Amino acid sequence: MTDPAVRLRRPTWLRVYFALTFAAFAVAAAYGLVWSPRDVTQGDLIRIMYAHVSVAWIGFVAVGLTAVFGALYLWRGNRRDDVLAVASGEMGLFFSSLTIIGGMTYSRPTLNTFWTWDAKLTLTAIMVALMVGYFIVRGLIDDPVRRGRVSAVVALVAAASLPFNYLAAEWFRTLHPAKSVALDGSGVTMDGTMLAVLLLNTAVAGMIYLGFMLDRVRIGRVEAELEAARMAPAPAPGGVKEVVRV
Amino acid sequence: MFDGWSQWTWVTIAWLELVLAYGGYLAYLGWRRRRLLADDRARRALQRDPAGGGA
Repeated sequence: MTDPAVRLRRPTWLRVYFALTFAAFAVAAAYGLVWSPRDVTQGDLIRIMYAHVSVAWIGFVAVGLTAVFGALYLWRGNRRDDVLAVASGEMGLFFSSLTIIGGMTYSRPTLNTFWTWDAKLTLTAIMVALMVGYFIVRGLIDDPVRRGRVSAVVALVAAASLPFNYLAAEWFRTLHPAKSVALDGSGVTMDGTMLAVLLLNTAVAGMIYLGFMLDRVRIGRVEAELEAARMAPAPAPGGVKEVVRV
Repeated sequence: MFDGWSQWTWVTIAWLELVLAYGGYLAYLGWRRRRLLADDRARRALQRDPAGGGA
């Protein structure tokens, strides 16, 4: 195996990608904080929406992709899929937790409460709890194959909650506002400028997700290779050592 | 306690949360990288000297 120190070093293209991404984040934040008009009812608080909703959408995508990579691992048994699932799982937990924290920051000044156990918020909390469970399960199982399979099932359960979470504000009486942008194309009930700023911030959150994924996958591959080397029986003297690449 | 906070205070907190979270995750990745390298160095040292470097 190539020296892990060399393989773990962040390559120039990834450093450039991160620099561009954080520059884009600064621009998107400036659009949200300065360029966006004030809302008729929320006033300047609407500027929180760009940070909160973009992160929430990417959190959904991350949890969904964790389940997709997990399902691929269950199907093909390829360790690369498990490494991708873990990286996306971390992103799912990261963005979903950020969604809850940002949502509380948005909720207190607009709805006069940090938290309420309504359907939308409860389903999001359950999703975060399931993603925490995903990593607890991984920490409890030593065998990499069994660990990958069991955690993939947990990821599928977490992803199963996504459609209910998406539709919760429509189905149930809840403090959380109903959707202003419908994915089924049935309509957008939002000012055009606000929608543009929201989509810009979502694209930047997506770029951040991708950058973190790329970096985390590089680490995950080296971790998997070192684990395989650690678990492999010691080679016979003079024998050929098998190298497992992930 | 929070009733006197202005709208811009909440807006600033919400955006600072993102900045801190992104910076924090990058720091976490760096920590993970360093820990992995330290583990690898320890493993290699043990392979070279299974007795643990005793005299």
